[in-house]
Amino acid sequence: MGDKVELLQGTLDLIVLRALSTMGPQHAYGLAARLEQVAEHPLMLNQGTLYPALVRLEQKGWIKGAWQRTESNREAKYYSITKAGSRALEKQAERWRRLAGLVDKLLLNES
Amino acid sequence: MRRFFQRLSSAFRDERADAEARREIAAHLALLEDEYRRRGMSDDEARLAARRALGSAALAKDRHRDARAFAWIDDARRDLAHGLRSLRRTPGFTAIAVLTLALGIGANTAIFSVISGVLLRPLPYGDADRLVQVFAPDSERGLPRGARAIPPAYFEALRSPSRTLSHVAGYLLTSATLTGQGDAVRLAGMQITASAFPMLGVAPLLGRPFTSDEESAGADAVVVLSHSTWQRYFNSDPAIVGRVASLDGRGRTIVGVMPEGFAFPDAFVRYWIPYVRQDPKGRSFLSLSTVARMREGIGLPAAEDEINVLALAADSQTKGRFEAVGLQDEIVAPVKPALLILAAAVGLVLLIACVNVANLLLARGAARDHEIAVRRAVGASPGRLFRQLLTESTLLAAIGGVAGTALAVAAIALLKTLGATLPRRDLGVGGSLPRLAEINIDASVLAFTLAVAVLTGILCGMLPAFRHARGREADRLRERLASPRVRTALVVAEIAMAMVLLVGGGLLIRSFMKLAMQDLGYDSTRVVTFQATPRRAPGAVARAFAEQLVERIAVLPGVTAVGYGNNLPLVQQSFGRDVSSQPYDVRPPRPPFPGLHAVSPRMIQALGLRIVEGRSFSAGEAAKGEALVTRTFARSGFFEGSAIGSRIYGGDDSWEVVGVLEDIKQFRLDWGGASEFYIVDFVPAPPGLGGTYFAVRTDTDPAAIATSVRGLVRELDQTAAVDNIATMDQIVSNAMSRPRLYAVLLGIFAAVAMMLAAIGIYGVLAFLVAHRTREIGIRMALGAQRIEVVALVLRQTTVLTVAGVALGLAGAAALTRYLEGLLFGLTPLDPGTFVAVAVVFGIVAVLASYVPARRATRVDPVVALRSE
Repeated sequence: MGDKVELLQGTLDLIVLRALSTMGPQHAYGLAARLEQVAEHPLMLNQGTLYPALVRLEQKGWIKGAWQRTESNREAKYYSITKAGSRALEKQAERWRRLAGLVDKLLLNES
Repeated sequence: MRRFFQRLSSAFRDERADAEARREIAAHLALLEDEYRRRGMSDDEARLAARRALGSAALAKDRHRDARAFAWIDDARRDLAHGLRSLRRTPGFTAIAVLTLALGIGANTAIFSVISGVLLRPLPYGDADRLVQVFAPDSERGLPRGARAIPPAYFEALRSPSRTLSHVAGYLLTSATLTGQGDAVRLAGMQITASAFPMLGVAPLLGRPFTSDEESAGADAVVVLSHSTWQRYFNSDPAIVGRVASLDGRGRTIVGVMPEGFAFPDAFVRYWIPYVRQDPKGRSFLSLSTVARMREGIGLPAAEDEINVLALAADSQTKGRFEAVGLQDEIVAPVKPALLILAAAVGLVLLIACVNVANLLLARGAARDHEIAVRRAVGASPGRLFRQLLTESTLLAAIGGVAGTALAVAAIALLKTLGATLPRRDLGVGGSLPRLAEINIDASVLAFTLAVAVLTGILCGMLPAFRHARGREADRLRERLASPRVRTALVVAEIAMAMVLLVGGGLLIRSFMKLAMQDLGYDSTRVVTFQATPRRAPGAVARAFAEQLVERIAVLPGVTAVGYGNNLPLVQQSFGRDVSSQPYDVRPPRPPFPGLHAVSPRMIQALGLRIVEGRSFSAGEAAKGEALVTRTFARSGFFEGSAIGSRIYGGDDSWEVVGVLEDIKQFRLDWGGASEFYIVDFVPAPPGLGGTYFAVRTDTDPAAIATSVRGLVRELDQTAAVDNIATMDQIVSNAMSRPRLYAVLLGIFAAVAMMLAAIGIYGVLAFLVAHRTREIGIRMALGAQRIEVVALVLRQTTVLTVAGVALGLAGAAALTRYLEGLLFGLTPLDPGTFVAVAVVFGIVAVLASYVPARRATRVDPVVALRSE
């Protein structure tokens, strides 16, 4: 149980950082919509789960939130990636790629 | 690290962060709704879909919060707030629970402060754990350890350089009349060796300690004052060093003043003078009480071994072993067992309080099933619920702890009053509790109270919290806990523990009553005693003074008899003289070694000593050849045949026994008869022992006599000090202060325990009656009489009480043997006490069930039946 959460958390953080770095500032709703697209499976993610990740990232100082108005004139908190966040993203992405490669290799050897 | 503080602070900035999160989630929902509406849903559909997509808003917020802070700090805060709310909702329950816990925790705090101040805290000297008291071997006279001081020849050997001891100090009791500083006063003092102050590691506040040169007979006369003497008689003069104090008419240069709170060997000592070395080969000598400091890293056995080696070097004929005992152990030895018993007793009281509160919480828990069920349904985890219930009980215990600390403050004040004894050295030092003045509530006591409160909270919250725990395993447990059987078992346990305390308290109280009501051998009512000592007192002068004073007192109105002597009953000193039934006996003296009382003839009437055979002293000069002996002495085998008419020989003197006296309580009230004899003589007081004692029997107010006596003494001799004024009743009461203290304390604890058990019985019966209202209603509808309903309730009481009392008596029978050393005149299994306590408890149990029984008879059958 704990393992799965760990993995999901790490992944989620990475995805959020990546989304903010490529798409610019986004509010939580926008990010959720983006995640649904990426995941190719709309029910994979309960949108509420996004919040802990956002809080965590903000506490680490990797993202910054600010209240703004949307195009539809609703108020929303827009998150943007910080410099520290960009650096972390690079590092994490590298780690993930290596890990993914390793897991791939292992899985191939097994089969 | 920064994150740690961020999270920590966010736990406390909860409100703002919460608002922020709410705002963000609301915004998210709004955007989702917009989206769904855009896709063509109706407003309501859109709202629902949005909520579904986001998940439970509350859950989202919770998760948000969990990520933000140390959830437990936050939870604890919520639990506290919730706990306070729910306690405020049930003020009756809260009041009883807090009071119960306050009694339990307060009693423990009070007794711990005593144990901390008396047993645990080191004596107020430097590195006090390395100080040991040294005792000479027991002689064939069977002296108690405390009286086995070290003869000077051995003392000089002990203070020669040693591998294990860094300092050896000796001291000898002395006293003197201080004149020239207001009215003449008699002060208790100590002759000490120069090594004493350095050994204790305490420097004088002013001036210097003694030098070893000052121990020789020809040295300058010097004195060191206690802080209180300096304050009281010398106005705290800062320039006192170098001034001269007149003690017994001899000028002594004041060389130092000790700091406040310094006491050695006890707080009655008002000044110190240097010990003057005695000629070790002298025929007459005074033995020294001896304290030594062990070198660092030396154990007691090693020190004792070397002391014995040194003693053998001094006299190869030495028989028996010198003993070394830790100074603190020696001081607290008389009270340690009793204090440990009291600690166990308050532990039991606390346990009873815990059981009671657990029972109350269980009863309340039953009423809270609904609330708990709802909380569980909305997603509270079992762990959270468990924590929350424990927080509530700990909160109760914390409030109880605060109230208990207040109770303990009052209890310690009471203890100090109860424990206070006449401030006299001659009645025995230590009084009821050694170091009484040092008892207070300090940081260590508060830390103890805190620990006890938290532990109590967890202990009494455990059962109720388990009851509400979830899970299949817990379900079965819950059913069991919900049944009245658990609560009944708790009450039975409570009754049993209370019984143990009641039996213990009962034994001590009965023992105290026996002690107080026994025959003393003298009539202690309406007798005033005092000491009057002229400044310069060579035997003849002192005797003339005593005779004149007695003559003048005898004519005061209301005085029926007045006399003087070298001793009083219960004064802790004994005078001896080697005597024999044969003239010029050259054999070594054998037991009994009778105590010598040198009195004026009228002293027998003044003290109210009872003649059981023969007569009292004759009037006039003839009395000087007569003696009175106690019953025990008369029957000791000392005399061949009847004591009356026999002679007692001592050196060149001899006395004819003319009367036998009832045995008297001379040293302790709990000791049997001793061999004592009375002769008409005047023995001038040896140094240190406070001179002549006077006794005045009156048929009016003893207080008025005391005032007149002061005037008469001053008329006779301006420089004579009057002190130690007390009625004989006060002296007897003083001698009972320790057993009285124990009896009162254990009695109070037992009473509290009984009250708590009564509340417990009441609680469980009230619960049962409420539980069986319907059944009772049906019975009454079918024609049951009130008396039958009452019998129904009383049957429950009986079952509870009989089981609890039986268990308790068995427990008491197993435990009271620890009280044996504290009991006088009865065995730890005293049947009278056991029966009486069981009967008393039975009555209390019936009283406790009265209200529930009455409530049962008031059940209205119609209402009861309709309630289903």
